[in-house]
Amino acid sequence: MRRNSSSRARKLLLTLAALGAAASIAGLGTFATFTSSTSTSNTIASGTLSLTAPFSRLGTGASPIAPGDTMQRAIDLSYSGSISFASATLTTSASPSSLLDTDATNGLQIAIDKCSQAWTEAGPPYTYTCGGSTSTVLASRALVGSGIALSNLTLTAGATDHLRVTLTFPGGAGNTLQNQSSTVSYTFSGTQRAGTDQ
Amino acid sequence: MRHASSPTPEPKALVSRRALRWAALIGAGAAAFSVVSISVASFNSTTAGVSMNVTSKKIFPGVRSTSTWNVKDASAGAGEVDASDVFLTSGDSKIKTTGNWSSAFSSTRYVEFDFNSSKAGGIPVSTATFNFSFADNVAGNTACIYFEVYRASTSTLLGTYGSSGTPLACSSSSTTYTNVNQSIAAQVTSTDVLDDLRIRVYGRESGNKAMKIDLATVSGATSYANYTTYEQISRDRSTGTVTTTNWPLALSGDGTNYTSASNWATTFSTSRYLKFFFDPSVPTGAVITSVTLNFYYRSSFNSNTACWYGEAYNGATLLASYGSSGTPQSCNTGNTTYSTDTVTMSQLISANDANAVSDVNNLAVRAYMKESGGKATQVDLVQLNVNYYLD
Repeated sequence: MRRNSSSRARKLLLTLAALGAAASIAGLGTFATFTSSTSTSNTIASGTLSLTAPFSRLGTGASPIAPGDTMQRAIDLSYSGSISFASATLTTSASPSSLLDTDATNGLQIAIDKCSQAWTEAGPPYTYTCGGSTSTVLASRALVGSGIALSNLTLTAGATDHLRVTLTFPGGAGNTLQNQSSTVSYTFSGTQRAGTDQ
Repeated sequence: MRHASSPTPEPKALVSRRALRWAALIGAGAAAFSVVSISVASFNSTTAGVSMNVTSKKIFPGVRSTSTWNVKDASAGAGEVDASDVFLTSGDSKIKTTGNWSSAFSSTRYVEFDFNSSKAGGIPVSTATFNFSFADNVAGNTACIYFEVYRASTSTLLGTYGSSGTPLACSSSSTTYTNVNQSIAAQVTSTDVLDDLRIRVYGRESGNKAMKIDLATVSGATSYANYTTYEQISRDRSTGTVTTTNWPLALSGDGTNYTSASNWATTFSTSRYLKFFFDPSVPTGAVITSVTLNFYYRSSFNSNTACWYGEAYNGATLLASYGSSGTPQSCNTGNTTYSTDTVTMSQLISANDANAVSDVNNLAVRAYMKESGGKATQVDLVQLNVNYYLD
């Protein structure tokens, strides 16, 4: 009896598991594309999400700097895919690292602002003026951070944001920050907009 | 199990409850997985990482000030007389004779030196050495010393060399000086310490007499330049009672001054001047952005007027003039208030002088003076201020 009962239970278990799996597939299917064999076709393809920097001065280093110095570098962020973004973040890291990036108070500070049109560049040393309107993308803060939220970006597919990254070496930096060297990496990341009815 | 114990077996269930529970669990799990997968899935995109190298200057811009310790006095118009600090160099016959010591070391009997702070801060220092030259003041007696290293601003003891039981050095001659060149590198590790340095030398003299000191400097090197640091305040507490002596040209408003060795003429003469050397230890390759000279002076006689003009030299090469015999740099009447002149020496900055570092490091300034009554003058401060940085 026990063996027969166990055998039935296993069969039932497999059956229910299969049903559960089928249900999950069916659930997924609700987001999938159906095509029919009628003359009307309905092709649905996924969009693309692409964040690029077609123009960037961020790779241009600066040395040697002194307290009170500022470094301006322009970068264009293009949302070149077919899907708009919901948000964008910046992650910065340093290797090799030094007090220039580890001293959150007297080390390098970063700020980002945006121009409604391309920045007008002068230099080097690079400086930028905006012929349109400016807005703050990132208020001044310590240089190194992960997933730093960026504000006031367009984020629309096909659009481009013209950004100016400003690094400031605080005037109060003391002699311990002499003869320091850091290589700072910048990575911008974007996440797609929320799903909508299509 | 429950049905096994029932006296009347229940109708057999199609599915056991345990199996039903498992099946429900698996099914729910599968369904939940699909929902979660959908809810967290989203596209994202990342730009290629861009790297930027940033390097700070080896020495930040800043004004470093140094007085003059090497002074030549030609006020008499008959050649130069050495008027340098007695502790500047050894073998120059300019010595400091202390008070009388005890024959045993005492914590209240010492001579003490506060050194100048003219170096750019925050730079590692190597090979810091205390240079001290002394002799007994009485033939046949023996003088011995040991010393301590302090931070002057906090009076924090950093280290001791020798002891009352084991002196660092002794001198049993009144004519031949004993030279001590003791490394203090363990204590003086950066220019921050070097610029805030005090050395206290404890002494004893076998006959309770004085000793003679010919040299007290600290020398060494940074990564960028050699340096020598000079005392600007000395305290003689050999007797147990302190007598403080400021190097008169290093500090203004301290009630001390340097009085010219002779009276000046009432008119300028190229053979009558004071000559000041400086040792700013500006590193090779530094960029000098400004140079100024503070020259504070007055007549030694009430109601008389003293005037001066200056010349800057590197060796025998005239670099620049500041005023002239016809148009003095300035004049000052009376003996109560110093004229506090600041002379801008723009000829010595890197933008105007390809050899600026060499010219500044080897700078000699001549101050030609005249005094309306033919009296001496008093100089309160001679200080060179150099703003430089090193990339």
